Amino acid sequence: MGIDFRARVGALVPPILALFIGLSASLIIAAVVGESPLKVLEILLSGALGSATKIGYSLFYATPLLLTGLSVAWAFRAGLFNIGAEGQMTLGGVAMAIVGISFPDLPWIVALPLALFAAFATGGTWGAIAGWIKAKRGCHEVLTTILLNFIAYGLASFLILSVFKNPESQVPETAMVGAGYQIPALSGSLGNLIGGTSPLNLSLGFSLLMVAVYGFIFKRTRLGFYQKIAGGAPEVGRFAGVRIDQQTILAMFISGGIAGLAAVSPVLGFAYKTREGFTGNVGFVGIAVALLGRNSPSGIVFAALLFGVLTKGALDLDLDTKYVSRDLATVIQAFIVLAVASQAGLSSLWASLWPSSVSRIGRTAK
Amino acid sequence: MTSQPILETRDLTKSFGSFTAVAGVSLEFATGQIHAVLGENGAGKSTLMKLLFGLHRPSAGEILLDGEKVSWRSSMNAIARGLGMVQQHFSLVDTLSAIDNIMLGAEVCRGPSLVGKLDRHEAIARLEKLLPSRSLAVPWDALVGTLTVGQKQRVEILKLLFRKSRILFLDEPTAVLTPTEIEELFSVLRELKAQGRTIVLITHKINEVLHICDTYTVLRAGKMVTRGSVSTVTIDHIVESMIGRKLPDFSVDRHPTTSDMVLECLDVKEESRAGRRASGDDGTLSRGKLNDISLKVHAGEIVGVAGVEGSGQSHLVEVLFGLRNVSGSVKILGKDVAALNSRQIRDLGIGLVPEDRHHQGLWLDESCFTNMVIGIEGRFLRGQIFQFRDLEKTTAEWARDFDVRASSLDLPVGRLSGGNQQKVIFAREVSGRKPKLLVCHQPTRGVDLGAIDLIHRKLIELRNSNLGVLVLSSELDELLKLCDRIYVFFEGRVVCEFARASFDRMRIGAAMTGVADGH
Repeated sequence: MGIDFRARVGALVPPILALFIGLSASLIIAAVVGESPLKVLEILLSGALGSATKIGYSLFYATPLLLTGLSVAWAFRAGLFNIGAEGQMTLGGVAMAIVGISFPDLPWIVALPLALFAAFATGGTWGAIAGWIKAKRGCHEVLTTILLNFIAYGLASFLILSVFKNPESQVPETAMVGAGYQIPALSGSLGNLIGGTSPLNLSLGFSLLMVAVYGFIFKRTRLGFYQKIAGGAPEVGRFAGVRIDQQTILAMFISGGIAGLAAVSPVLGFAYKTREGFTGNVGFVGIAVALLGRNSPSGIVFAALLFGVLTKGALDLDLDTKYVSRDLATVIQAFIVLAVASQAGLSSLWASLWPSSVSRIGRTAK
Repeated sequence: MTSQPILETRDLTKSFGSFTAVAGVSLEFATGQIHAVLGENGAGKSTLMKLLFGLHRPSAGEILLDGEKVSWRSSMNAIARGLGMVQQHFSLVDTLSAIDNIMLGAEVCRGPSLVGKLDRHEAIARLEKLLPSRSLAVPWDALVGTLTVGQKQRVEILKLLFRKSRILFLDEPTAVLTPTEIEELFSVLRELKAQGRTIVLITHKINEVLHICDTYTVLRAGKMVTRGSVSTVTIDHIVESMIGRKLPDFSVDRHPTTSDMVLECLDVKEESRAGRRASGDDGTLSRGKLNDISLKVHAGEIVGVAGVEGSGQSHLVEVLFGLRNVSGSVKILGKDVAALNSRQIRDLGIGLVPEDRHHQGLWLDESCFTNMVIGIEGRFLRGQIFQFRDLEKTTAEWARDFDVRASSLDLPVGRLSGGNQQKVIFAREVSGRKPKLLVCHQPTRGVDLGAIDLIHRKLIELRNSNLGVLVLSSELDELLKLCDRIYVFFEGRVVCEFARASFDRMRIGAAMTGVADGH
């Protein structure tokens, strides 16, 4: 138990350190360009957490990050690097809109599950293509998922602009989904206590539920066990009778599916239609969420909330500071990712300096 | 001992934190003799060698070369002073010729060193002057990739001679050799000894090497437990010193074999470009490809496959488990497995102890519990959900069956000793799977003598309880001890078959090199 507890506490150190490094480095940059770091920090915090509405916005921005982070984390667990969450999410959003436009009169109890299913299946299929190519042809998923992103953008543009276009709008967006598909904002509930007047909606609960399901699957089920074997010890699985190629395809299907679901808050919970470029890089930030959260359910929640807070807090930088803009949030994220990545690098560097520099001679059998 | 020792250690100690890998070892290597350094995995042999070669700095004690104290700054110092080592895993460039490999890093050049022309003739001439006899020569211009394992080892030895090494360390030199090749190696070593060179063999294979050695030193748990002259010692004494206790005699009853066939391979042949992708294919040359393999295993029988590594054993295992496509028929427990996938084949009742424990057998980062259910997790699932209480209770029983020693089965299996890791695999594949056919590939590689004894007894026990066992091993002695029949593989073919009554070490060894004598 003692060891277990220490390991748990120890696991918290790297992400917190990464956050600290990322924040400090960015504040130093702010100072270099002539902005007071304390002021920047204050704007970030008050902008993100200063009122119920601001907190609501932070949570609203965190909602899709929970799911894209989860998507990337699932793939990581299975030994795969899904850089395609952005494209998968885009197509998921398009699928929601298509269903919502095609069957507008369904009651919400049917409509919402149907739209979610369509988004999952579409994003999943997009992911599974990369999984299939990897399993059968050995082409690395990093390459294929990046390339599939571009195809997804093109496909989405075509569908949004040419097939399901909103005829009354100049903006590249689809028509509205039916009323049954629209998830209302929480604003107004409990006298604006939750989320103030922000567009925060029940998608947050759904996303948190998905994180919990993910945790359960990887802790307790055969599916999670096989996925982990595919990621951690594929040869062991192969000799034990686990079809690793199938697991790879399945992993990319589920990962892509979760990314497809990430469209739920921006599409069904906010705009009620799908705009071109509605994802706003959430798919890529999901990679940072998974890395910072170390693929653990609680870590993903922590990282998604953190990045939600950063996104919201940084919006006020445009107005309230002279020299830095909202892009500082991206800089902070980038530094955090660098810090997380270099921790792995640093420890392996450390390992290579310490024991293995001496293992060149007299290495025993295995 | 004789004259002045060429290399000597006094109270040599090396600690890593609280762990002492080498504790006060004092030993002497006399000039012009062959010395054996014996010990199990983890006894401190590797650390001792690293100290001698300057790859570790001693925590205490000293090293003396030619009677004078040395302190190496790096291994380059040690090599410059005449120490040389042939590692168990050769470090050769397959795509270069033998002579280029030998010269590599000490090239003979005409003209300025960087852009000068390699003078291979000069190098060969220098080398041939150094050779005790032609027996050490290899075809100088042949690509190393085309040489046999024995020849590759000679190239490694020649590399040392070319660098004027006076003390040659050979780490597990017999591990990859056939009996014939071992004899050839020994005659080379004797010639080098006659030239006045000092040779140190680091090994745990006592039987094979002891008779050519002059002295022995046994390490156990970092300490030197005994040393002396080989002429006055028995093997039993050395084994006892190595493991710290007596091994009981290995004499067991063998129940008669039945006629029930558990495995039958008929004309198994790999087509060109056979083998599924993503099968971890090592791009093996044609010599590892199966060519008309036919073999049988009955219930209550241990059948061995002998052969130089890479003669098709790995491919055969993959074929049996549905991981490689072949023509011909494979029947397990009477069922043709061609139409079955790997999971279905496994579920017929076939256990596997794979060759590469660390990659194919165990998931090193995970707990022993987890490792003991891989592939048989179904019995611990209710619906799709794991029942951990049942899992931990049952796997703990399996671990007891095979005497797995771990302070907790929650530990990552990678932290266990090699022997205990192998026992975890056996526990899973035997107690967990309860198979009718057990396939063991290199069942005791990198395993301590105590665990080897336990595994061998268990295999005989399983055989007597009517299990069919197929053992693929490059340790001929292991096969001779366990098997009722032995097939000898050479370049993907079965060259001959021996029944227990007609086992003959030299003849089987000859067959391993392709010399079949029509048996």
